[in-house]
Amino acid sequence: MSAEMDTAVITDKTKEIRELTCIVCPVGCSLQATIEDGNVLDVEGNSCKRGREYAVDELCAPKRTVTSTVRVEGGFLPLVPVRTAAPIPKEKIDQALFEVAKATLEAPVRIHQVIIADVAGTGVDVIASRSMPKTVGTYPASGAKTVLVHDACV
Amino acid sequence: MSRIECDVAVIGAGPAGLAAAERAKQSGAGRVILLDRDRELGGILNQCIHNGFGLQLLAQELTGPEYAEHFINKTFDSGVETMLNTMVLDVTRDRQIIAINSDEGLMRIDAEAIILAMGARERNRGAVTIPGTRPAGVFTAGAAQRFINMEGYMPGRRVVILGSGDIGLIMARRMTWEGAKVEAVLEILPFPSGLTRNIVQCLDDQGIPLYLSHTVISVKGEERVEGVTVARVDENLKPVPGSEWDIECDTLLLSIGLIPENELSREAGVELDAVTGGPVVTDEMETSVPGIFACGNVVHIHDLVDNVTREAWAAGEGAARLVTGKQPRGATIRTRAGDGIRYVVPHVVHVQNLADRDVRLFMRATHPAENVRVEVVVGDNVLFSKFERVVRPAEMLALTIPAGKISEQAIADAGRRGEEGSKNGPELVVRVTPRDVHKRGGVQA
Repeated sequence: MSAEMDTAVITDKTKEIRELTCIVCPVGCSLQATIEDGNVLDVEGNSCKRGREYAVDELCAPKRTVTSTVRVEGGFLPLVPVRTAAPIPKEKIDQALFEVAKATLEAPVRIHQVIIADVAGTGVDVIASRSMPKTVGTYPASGAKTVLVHDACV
Repeated sequence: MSRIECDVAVIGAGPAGLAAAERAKQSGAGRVILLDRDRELGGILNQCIHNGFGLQLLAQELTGPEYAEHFINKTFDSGVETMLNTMVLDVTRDRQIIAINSDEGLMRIDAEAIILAMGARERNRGAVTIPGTRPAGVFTAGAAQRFINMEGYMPGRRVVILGSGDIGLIMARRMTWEGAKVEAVLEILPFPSGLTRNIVQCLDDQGIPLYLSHTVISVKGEERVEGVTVARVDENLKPVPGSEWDIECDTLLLSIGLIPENELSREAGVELDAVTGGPVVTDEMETSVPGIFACGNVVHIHDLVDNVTREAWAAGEGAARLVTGKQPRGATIRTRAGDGIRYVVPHVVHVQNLADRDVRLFMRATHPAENVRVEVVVGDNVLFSKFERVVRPAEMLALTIPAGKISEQAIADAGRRGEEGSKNGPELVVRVTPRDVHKRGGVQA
C-alpha cells in the first residue's frame, strides 16, 4: 500500500510528480503534486485549499496531530485524553509521546487546559481533550439534571 | 415500581442520543428524558481519543471526547433530563419503557415518543469463526481501545490486527505510540474497509504492512496467544493452500465490523432491514411502530459522527413534530437501492416533506468507482443527481434533495407510466451511473 501511494514518477531531469492521499478530512482526496528541486510547483486533485496546504507541508515538512492520555490523580477516571493543540513535525512525535508519558495531573481538569507547554520544543502545547471532574459523586459537573422519581412512585 | 411520564424518552446517550434529545427539546417537546447504561454521557466517543471528529459539522478537527463534550453541554443547556447507570430492559409497541438502576430499582416510563439510539456492537471472534485454540489475548479493537484510553491498561506488546475497519487502523497507531509492535493488518477483501486517510496516517506513517485478500486461519497458544497463521484468500474468500505463514504475536485485535444493537427494537416489534441490520425508517426517522423513532448506528453503521448527529437531529425534530401534532400527512414514497448502491436510508419519504424541506438520503456504494453520478430516479426520470469523484463502500454517501426539487406532480407522472417492479406504486430509486453515459446517449443496464 505505501509503495503504491508514494510512487514518484520522474517526468524529466528535475521535475517529478508525487501521488499523495490527503488526510486533512475523511474525504481523502488523491493529490498529484509536481515538485522541482524540492519545491512544490503545483497540486492537483484537491477539492479544497487545505488539500494544497497539506501537500506542500507533507512534501516539505510533514506534520501530525498527536493524541494520547495522561494519568490523573483523584479523577472520575484514571486517565485524561490529550492532544497537541496543532499538528507538530513528524520527527518530533517520539519526543512528544515521551514527554506525555512522563506527565501526571491532578483532578479537576478543564477541557483545553494546557497540560504540557511547548511540547518537544515545537512551540505547540499539549491540551486536555475533555474535562475531568474529581470523583464519581461530583460528575457530571456542568449542572446535570438527574431525574428524581421518588414523588412519582406508584 | 416507579412511574414516569414524559413527551420523549431517548435510549442511549452517545452522539445520536445526545443530539436527538437536545433537538427534540429545542423543537418543542415538553419533558425529554435521556437514558444510558454507562456511568457518563457521550457513549463510545469518550474512548475515541484520536482527532478527526466534527470537520463537517463544527468546522474543527476535534477528538471524540471534545465532540462529546460539545453536545453534552448543549444537551444540559436545553433542559433535557438525564438518567445514567440505567439499563433499559424492555420497550413495548405502546411506548412503555421498563428500565432499572440501583437508586430507583425497577421503573416504568410512559413516553409519547421513544427515540432508539443504542448504537452498535462489535463483531467478535464467534462471528467469523477463526479456528485454533482459545487463549487470552484476543480482543475486539474497541475493547482494546477502552482498556488503553480509559482504563489505563495495555492489552499486549506484539499485535496482529484482523480487519481493516477504522477502529482497528486507529488502534494500530495508538498501540505503536504506546510502545507495542504491530506486525500486520489483514483484510480478507481486496479493498480496505476503513477510510483512506486512516490507512495513510495509521499504517503507512508507522510502517505497518496491510495485507489485502488475507485472513487469519488459525490462532495458536494455550494460556496466551503465541501467534497466528495467516493465508492469502482467493476470489471466493477461501484460503489458498500453500500461501500460509506464521506471525508471532501475543495479541490479536479484531476490527471486522459493527452490528446495530437492536434487541430492544425487536422486542418492540420494529421492522428491521436485512441489509442494514437496523430499523426501516421514514424521513422523520420514525420506525414501523408509530411513535418509535431511531437514529445513528442503531439504524445503519456510520463512518462519520457528523452524519450521526445530522440523522439524530432529524429524529429529534420528527419526535417533536409527533408530540406537538405537526407530523406530515398524506402520501409517502419508498426508496430503493438501484445499481451500484447497497442500501438507502431512510426507506420511506413523505411527499409533503420533499416539497417543504431539504430531505437527506444516506447510502453506501456496493463497490469502489470513480467519476460517477449518484442519481435519484422515479420511473425513468432522473429527478436529481450529484457528481462524485470517488465512491467507496467504506465511505457513506449523503445526498440532500433540495426542497421542492422533486414535486408531487413528477412522482404522480412516473406512477401513471407504471414502471416495472413498481407494484407498490412509484419508488425513489438511487443508483450510481458512470458520469458520461448521458453524453453517449444511453444508460447502461
